Amino acid sequence: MKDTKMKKLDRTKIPFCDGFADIKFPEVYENTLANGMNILVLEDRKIPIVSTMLLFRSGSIHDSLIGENKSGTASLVSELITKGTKTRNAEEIAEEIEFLGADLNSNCNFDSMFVSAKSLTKYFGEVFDIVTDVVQNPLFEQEEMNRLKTQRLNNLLYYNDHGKYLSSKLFIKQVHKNSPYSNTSMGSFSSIENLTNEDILTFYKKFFHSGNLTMAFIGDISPEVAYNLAAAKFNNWQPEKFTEINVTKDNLSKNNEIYIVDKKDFVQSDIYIGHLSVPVKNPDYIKMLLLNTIIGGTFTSRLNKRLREKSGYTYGISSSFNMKKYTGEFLARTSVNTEVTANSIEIIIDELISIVSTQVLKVELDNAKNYIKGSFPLQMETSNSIASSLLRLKFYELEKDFYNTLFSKMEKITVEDIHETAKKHIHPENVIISIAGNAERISKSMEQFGNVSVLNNINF
Amino acid sequence: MTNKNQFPEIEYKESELTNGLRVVMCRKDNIPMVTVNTSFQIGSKDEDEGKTGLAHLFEHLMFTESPNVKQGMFDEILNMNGGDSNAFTSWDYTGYHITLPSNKLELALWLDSDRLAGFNIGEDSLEIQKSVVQEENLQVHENVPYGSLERESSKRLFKGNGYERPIIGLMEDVKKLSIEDVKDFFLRYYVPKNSVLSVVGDIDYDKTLKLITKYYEDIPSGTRILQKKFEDMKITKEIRDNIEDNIELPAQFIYYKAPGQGTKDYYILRLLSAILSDGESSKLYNELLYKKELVSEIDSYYYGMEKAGIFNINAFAMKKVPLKTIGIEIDKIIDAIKSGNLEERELVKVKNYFETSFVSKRQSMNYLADTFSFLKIFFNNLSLINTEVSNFLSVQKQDIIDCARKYLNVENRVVLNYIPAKK
Repeated sequence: MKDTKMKKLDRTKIPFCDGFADIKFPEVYENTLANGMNILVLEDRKIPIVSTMLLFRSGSIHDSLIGENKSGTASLVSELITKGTKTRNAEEIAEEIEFLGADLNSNCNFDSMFVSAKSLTKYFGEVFDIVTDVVQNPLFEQEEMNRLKTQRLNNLLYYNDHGKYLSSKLFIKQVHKNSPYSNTSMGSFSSIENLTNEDILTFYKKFFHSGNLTMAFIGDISPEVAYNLAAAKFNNWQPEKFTEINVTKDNLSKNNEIYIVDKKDFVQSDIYIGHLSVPVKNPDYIKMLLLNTIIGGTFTSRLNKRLREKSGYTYGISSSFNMKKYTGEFLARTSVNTEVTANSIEIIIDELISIVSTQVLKVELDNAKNYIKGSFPLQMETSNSIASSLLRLKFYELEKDFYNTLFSKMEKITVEDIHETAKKHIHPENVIISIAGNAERISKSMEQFGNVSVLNNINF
Repeated sequence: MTNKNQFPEIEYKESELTNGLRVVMCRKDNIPMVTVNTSFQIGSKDEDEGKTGLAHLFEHLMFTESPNVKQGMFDEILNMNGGDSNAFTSWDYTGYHITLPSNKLELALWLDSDRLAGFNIGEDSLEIQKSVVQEENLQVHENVPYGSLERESSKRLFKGNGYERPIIGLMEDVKKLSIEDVKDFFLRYYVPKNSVLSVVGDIDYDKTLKLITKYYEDIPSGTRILQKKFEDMKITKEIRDNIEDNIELPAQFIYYKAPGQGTKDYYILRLLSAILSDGESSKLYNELLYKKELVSEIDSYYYGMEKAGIFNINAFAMKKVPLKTIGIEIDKIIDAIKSGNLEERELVKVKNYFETSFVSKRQSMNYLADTFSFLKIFFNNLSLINTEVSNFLSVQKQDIIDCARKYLNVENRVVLNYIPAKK
């Protein structure tokens, strides 16, 4: 080694690094069984793991089809299907899956229900047998139902102590008022009490059929093997008529509305603020993605910079367009010290007004584009993340080449477009503000923003 | 029963710069991105009395400003290049990572090295971040149910040593920290000799090492701080307390004192915890939640820290079920294991699960980078990235029984009963 004197590096200049790699979303094999079931396969042999994900086009918004006060149905169905089949009881299912070192999960959101499993390649055949069994032959035994209902009622008690849960639940309720989107999928004390085994069975019969199912395989498996596996196990399934749900169109609130769920012992306010928005499938989707990145999508977004880095009022704030199948919300969420609750809301509203009234800077838009371009590949890092991106595409009926054309479509978007998008999709004068916090200390100062309602509990 | 060759090995290269900075590189090219992890062997347990919270406060301050990066620009530059950053603090070390497109690796190294090359944190930034940390403390600990748990358990388990306080520090200390305290801490711990740099992603080894050398080698090496003398207290009689909280459901939290990382028992206790509570067929879940319906949630964890460990069981009661009943049932299960009531199949089951998750976790660059830094700092042995799984797979049934007998004893534990405060 040469013995040279260490020279100090000139650190004053930012190193130049050029552009962004284009997205090449992995090639997907797609096929349909004679009974209408969709099959997607993404082969990736890097590690000896196979995942499968079954997506049913039915979630908690369909609870309303079961009857009045039946929220929680979809969610209980998703839990109950792994709690016993004609040939395996709940304990046997858990034992068999776990003995194979595998994961079996089922859950639901507003729009859809997932059953997913993951295992080493060598055990996947056995795991898939169990997956098939639970979706095709669930028993929904009364004893399991009772157990889960008690469990759920206790979970609700547990969540009722959590401010973020309360403010989010209250927000969703007030934004969507009477639409099927106004109830969280967990259900309420009274709806859970009200649910019967028949309800569960009705839901299952309506929605668990081949016409309502997309099945994805990801990982160490070839399209042929996956297709044959699916065909062998699901050929006997028949499609039913799909029950389309009627989601009445909600309206924006006429003025700002403030709801406080009173928690006397809280030292912070957990805040949700926002309003009704649009579904995923809408012409402004990509523009809204960029717009939100600027408002509250990153650590250096306008909201986080002002509320955290300039004011020190919060550990963090973020915003999002929560776009769903038939509707959506725009919202910002944060937790701030009780004392600065009003100041914080003032800042948030001020930022919303400013994005509507004034064009963003070109550099802000460029940065947002670059952020999305640079971080996008993370969505393709693990088999789970690929599967979610893939099914998202399918479920929301986005164009097949959505990911591969995202960058070029983004390129064409201008600051004028973003301004138009802000005017169309951000409504600073029609916000719902939902807070879990100390009502006595904050409600007076909230009156400057609109009509204030204080609730002692929210058992809906 | 070794695992060699059964799973794809993770390849890596290691190196050391002349100033003592230890470097790990790992090529993983499934996506065109890279993670840069810089870890420092300084955690909350190493802090001085009266200056607690410094280790974690740094996790905030290191992103504020450095000699050539103006206030707020660190993340600004990163975000506009498609990158993100984050950090974490444990009892024993502090880790930083940057993830960004791999063609922009040099930018990450420039940003990261600049904050080590010189101290430039201003009073402004300090005051703002002290305030952010206080909000973080409220959000994570004070304003959530059961949130005082870390504080309440630590002070009973580790009286008199650095593990006795929460990682975030005591707020009365944090409020008083001055820029001199910060600078002093920086000069002592944020030096190449005390740190490991791990770069994982779509990289070329030679080019990467050249870039790392370019950006880090001229930073003064500093000295690796000798660890303070560590003395741990023994618990000889069960410590049992009731704590009132604003909660609806009572809960019982049990903590046994256990050995730390790097011991044979570390691997055994991880498996024991899995046998007790991983999955619905695990002992505690099956018995207390499923069969007897006493709890709405039950979990166990083993924390193996650098100098000490904790074996912890958390049980959230169903409404109207007395905590006493729950405690008795948990003890029954533990006593049964101690008397040899454990099936071979239960052990094979958790080993199978460890195998799957071992393979699966390695898909993530962040996980790999964190793990490399951790292994280098505490074990100086990177090959564990591929071989550590066999330490789990070689555990025998009798080992589990022995460990349960050795550690899961009434006179070796703290039991905290959280009960609803009278309104």
